[in-house]
Amino acid sequence: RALQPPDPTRDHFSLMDCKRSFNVDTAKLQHRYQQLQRLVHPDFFGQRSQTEKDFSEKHSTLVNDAYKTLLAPLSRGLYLLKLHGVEIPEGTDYKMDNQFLMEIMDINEKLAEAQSEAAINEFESVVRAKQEELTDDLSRAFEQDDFEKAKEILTKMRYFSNIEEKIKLKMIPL
Amino acid sequence: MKLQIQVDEKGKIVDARFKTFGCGSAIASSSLATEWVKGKTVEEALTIKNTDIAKELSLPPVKLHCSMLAEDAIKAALADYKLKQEPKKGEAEKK
Repeated sequence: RALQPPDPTRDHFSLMDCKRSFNVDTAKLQHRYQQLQRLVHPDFFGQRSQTEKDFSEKHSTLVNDAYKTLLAPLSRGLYLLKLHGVEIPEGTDYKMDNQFLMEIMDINEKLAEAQSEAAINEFESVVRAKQEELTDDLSRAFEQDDFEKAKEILTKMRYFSNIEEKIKLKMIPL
Repeated sequence: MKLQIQVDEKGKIVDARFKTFGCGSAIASSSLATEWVKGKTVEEALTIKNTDIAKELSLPPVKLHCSMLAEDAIKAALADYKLKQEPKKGEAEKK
């Protein structure tokens, strides 16, 4: 039986055999990811027709995207919002509350000045704790179908995700 | 975006500094705002519009809000300056 092209109407949750919910069993997700790649990865289609090879590549890429999207809380939350027809356009973080923005500004400034590995590690802990707290809040918001609240939390998570990237860059030895 | 201004006794902005964390458009907008307020009086600086900033930088539509932030930063800095000029009746805590 020849490999068919991927079904474009299928969403990531369906593909990864997960209930359409913010709460995802990441162990089960990973298991499903490996299971699917064993079926569709191009490495297993070396002897097949070009058409099947192309389909295999499309499937494999789709599986990668779905896995990556659902694995991280931020991307998962944004994707789930999108499925509910809610998007966060550029510029809406303009409405973020002042206290939060000052907190972010403060972290950014201090992080820029941090020199020692110990100081940077401390930032990492603080940021990680914040992210966990926000993830819990987000989970509750989705449970209550409170999409406005979810939007607000996801916007905050984006700020911390950016800071996380900066911390990672700072940790690369020169 | 953080904007700091130094105003002399005649109400002229003699120095301005910015610190921005964000995309290139945000950094450029605040940088330009800083350049533009220097040498202007407080009243003149109030006339700086986000549309001017966006036009000067040729900001793409998706980044227009960055210029808006810069205009807001100028206005906030000037408002803060004016507040500090007022005789001390009862100091209001600024956030």
